Amino acid sequence: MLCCALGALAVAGCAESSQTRVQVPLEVQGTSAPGTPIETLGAVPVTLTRADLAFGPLYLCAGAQAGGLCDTARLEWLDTVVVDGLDPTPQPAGELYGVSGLVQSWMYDLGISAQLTSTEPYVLEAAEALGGNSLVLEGSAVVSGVTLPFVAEVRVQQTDTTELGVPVVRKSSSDVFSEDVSGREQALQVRFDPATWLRTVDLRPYVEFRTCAAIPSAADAGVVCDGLVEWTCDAVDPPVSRDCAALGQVCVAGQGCAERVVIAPGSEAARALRNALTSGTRPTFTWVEASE
Amino acid sequence: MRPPAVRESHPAAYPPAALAEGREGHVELGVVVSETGVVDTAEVLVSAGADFDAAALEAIRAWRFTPAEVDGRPAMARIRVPFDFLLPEPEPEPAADAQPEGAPPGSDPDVPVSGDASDAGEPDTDVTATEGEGGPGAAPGAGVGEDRVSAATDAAADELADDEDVIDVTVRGQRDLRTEERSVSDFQLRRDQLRAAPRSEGTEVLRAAPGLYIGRSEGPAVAHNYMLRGFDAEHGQDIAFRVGGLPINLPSHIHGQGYADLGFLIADVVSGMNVSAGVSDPRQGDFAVAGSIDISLGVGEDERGVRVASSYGSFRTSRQLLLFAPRGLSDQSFGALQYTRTDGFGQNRAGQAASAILQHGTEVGDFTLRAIGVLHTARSDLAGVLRRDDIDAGRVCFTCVYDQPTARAQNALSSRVMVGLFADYRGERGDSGQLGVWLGYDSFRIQENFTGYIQSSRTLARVAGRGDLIEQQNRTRSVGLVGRYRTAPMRPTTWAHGTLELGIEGRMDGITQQQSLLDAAVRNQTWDQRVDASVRGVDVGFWADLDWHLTQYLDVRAGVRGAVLSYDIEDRLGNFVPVVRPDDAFIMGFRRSALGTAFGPRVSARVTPLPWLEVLAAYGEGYRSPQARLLEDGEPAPFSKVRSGDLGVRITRDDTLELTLGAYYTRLSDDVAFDAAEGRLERIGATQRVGGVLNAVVRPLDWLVGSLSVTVVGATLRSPPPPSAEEPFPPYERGQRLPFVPPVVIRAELGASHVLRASLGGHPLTGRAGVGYSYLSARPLPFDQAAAPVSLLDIGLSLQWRALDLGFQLNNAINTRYAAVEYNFASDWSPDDGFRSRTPARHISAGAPLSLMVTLGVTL
Repeated sequence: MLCCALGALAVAGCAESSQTRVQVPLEVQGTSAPGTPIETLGAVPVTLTRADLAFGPLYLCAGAQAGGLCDTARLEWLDTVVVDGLDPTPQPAGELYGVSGLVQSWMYDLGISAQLTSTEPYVLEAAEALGGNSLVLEGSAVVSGVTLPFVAEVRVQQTDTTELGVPVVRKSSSDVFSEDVSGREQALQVRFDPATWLRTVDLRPYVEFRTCAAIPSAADAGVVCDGLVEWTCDAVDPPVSRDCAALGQVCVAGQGCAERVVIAPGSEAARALRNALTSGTRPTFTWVEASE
Repeated sequence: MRPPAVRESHPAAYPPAALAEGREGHVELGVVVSETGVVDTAEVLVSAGADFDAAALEAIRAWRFTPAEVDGRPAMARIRVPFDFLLPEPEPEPAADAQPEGAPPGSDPDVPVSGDASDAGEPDTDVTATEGEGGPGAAPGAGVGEDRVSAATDAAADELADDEDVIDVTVRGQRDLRTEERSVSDFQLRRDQLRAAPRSEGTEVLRAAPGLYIGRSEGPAVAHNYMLRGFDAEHGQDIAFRVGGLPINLPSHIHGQGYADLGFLIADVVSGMNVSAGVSDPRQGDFAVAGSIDISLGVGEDERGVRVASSYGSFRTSRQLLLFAPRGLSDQSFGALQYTRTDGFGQNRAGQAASAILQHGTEVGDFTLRAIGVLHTARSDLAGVLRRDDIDAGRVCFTCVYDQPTARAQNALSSRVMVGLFADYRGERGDSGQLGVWLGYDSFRIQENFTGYIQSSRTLARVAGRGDLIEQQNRTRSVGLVGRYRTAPMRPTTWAHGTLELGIEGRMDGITQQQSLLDAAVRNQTWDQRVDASVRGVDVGFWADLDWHLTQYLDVRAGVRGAVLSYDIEDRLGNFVPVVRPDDAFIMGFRRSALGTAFGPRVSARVTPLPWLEVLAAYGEGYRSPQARLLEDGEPAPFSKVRSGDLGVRITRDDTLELTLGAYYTRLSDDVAFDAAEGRLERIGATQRVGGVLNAVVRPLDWLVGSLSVTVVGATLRSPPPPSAEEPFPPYERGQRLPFVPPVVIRAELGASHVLRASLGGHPLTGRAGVGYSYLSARPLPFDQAAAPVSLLDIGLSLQWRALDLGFQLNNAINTRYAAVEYNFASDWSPDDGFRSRTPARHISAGAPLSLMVTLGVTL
């Protein structure tokens, strides 16, 4: 029995954890090539010239649900990077560190993190590079024949009224994501598609075809656009027009001649972008296996 | 001229074979006592056979004397020591057909003799000085008759006069003993072993226990961390501790099931220790999973008196001791008071502690009555744990504390009082028994932060990040009793004899406990409640134990142990579900009860093919009570079951060598491990251990004792809880090595005590030296991490002259930088850096660095 016991001891002593420390390269990539039109709400085509997204930190979780049920993550990447959404080439972002095993969900921030200890969010490096924003889009849309250059700057962060201390974007329950991470993976690729961000954005309200005659009362006097012509309407004085195109500008509804449309925080378009980033179609996570 | 006087006597063991065969003997030894008081030579003058002669010689070699004096100077002297080995006192006239054929009239050879006295930890053989002032029954310092002593300062033994003094010794086999060493993992530690290595505090006598490692990671107000043969017993969950008959483990304690704080121990009054690793003794009850340790208290005759000692050392650590042990009273009677304080070896580690132990024993007829009282209180600041990556990056130093209110507010306070009354009975027919009652009250409070800033309040909406300072409070009121009776020896045949013991043991505990989260930055404002519960638990244990000797080659012990456990739980936060249910839908709380029975056999066998060789096998099933708060209503088996088997050999050579080599297997149905998020133990599923134990004790010289203990174990997890929605990423997986358990534990101790100078101012100068070395191999941690191996060396030196003694003690002499404990879990101690790591990270609690203590004592 002594020999048996020592033999068993040898076997038991060799029993090792199946969990091992792993690190997996992380790559990020965009989707759309510059110049490729994207269709937004109302079949408005948009052509992007810039789609920069602040991405990170990223956590991969063992459970099917991330968020509050992922106090302990299996892998994490605690850095941030600006993703060029228009560059489909995978770009190395760093390494995910953690422990081997099954991952079934993920969550990440968009360059701005909210910690339990502070009601003020932390603007991390990538968002800092984007002027404190999570997303910066530049491009032009063609609305009713009017070409409308625009820029959108969006901050995406947890707030006091949402959920402090938890990353703002999580895998949706309909997404399929399951991988038994062994450390032999070549990389985890995260592909972002700016088209999904813009799909629900309605740019049509920025273009209007109105004249002062259409203004119902003096109280509504102000600036209106008739395509690219700006009209300043006054209850006493006659209307004054200005051809924005001649100035190399566009006429933005409610604003008049301007270099471009600025999608301001709090606007419907900004809210749509924010919602698209946090709860719309999520980026694609792909495990690239190392070749044997 | 003053004759030699017995300073320290050791009883002779009645040869088992002679006892079994009903033989008596008379041995006379001629003994030369050196100028230093040790036995220089001993020769058999009158023989009673090899076994009796050997027993007498073995005993006398351990005796110590105050040397004879000639003209005020120590001198060599020769004395004569007759040993009378007598069979036990005659029983009442037995039935004629029960009297063994050929047995001496009135004798009863059916008496086990090995091992300590079962009830009081007394020597295993009744040694009585029948005459002679300097006999073992006399007070130390009592000289033998001067007119019957010859002495010479430089003469050889054979030159000594023949009219040496006589010290008669009667060795009588005891009736009331049972076999204590039932498996190869059972050990009885003598005082010289307990004192061999330096001990900086009373609890460290446990380091002498083979296979046991103790560490202290949470300061003097919190129990040590214990590890025994593959069990990370945390604060005592897997080891049943008993001190002076008082059970120490606290059931359902919020800081750890079976919480056992031995901080009250005072090393000077520890007289012996029985270590029973594994489960083979029916007396082992709750928490005897890895084993049990019984510590007996007393002050030997040679150390009695009034002792005052003061120690001072590194980190402004000081210790004051007052020991009151009047000569003339029994070894069991003493009072001891100890106070310690320290600034601690790093930031936020200052602490104070005070202990008082009072015990009085007296004999009344067939009874030995003993009363014991223990008082203890301690408070200390705690540095808590540090992330290893923060240490490596220089963000915090190894022995520092995070510079945040939630970290600096870590501290602990504990208080305990216990009293007990025990009556030991020894009948004339050889039967014996014990009846005891005890009362206890324990109060415990701790503030600790393991995880930094990752908790959110479950009670208050939108409150989070105020620091995970966990406050735990636990108060336990206990009352218990123990009663047992062992029959007089029975002898159904000529080749078999033995006894039967029946016993009961019970306790009732009333426990209240709370766990909250505190905001240290706002005067410990409570910002979350996690536990608010009361538990009433009853544990009634009973056992039967047969201890039989079948020929001189085979001893068999068989018994059963049962227990009925019941719990009444009032969980005042039960059914609390934030947000989901409206407040007025029900009244919060979850009251429930559970009852179950634990039952298991305990068997062991010893084969003695040669006088110096024993083969031992043992198997037993035990149990551990649960954290009652985790029970469901009506749960029928509210305990964890342990199955344990041992097999090995023991080699004994006189008194110079005891070598044991064994293997064991232990399986536990439901283990627990530390959970940092809650700062307490949580279930992790079934586990098993397969291990081997080597233990050696050598006494090559009269003044030297050494011991070596090596435990090698493979501990694995059999069936951890599966992932759940609440715990999707459990740290434990089936088949993995059990976290925190070192596969190899080594302990080596060496102690020497010798007269350095026979006469200094007319009195001998005695020196003592001790070395203790501990090694823990790399310990696996959750999530594929491993804690670094630990090597610790302690060195002690002391001098004793007349009533004075001066000691120096170096702890961690090689100044190992080590982690007293190490964990691997997710935390966030840098809340202002903008991101939070969620993967498990290594955390350590620093172990004590090199320290020096100097002790000056006076014994009057």
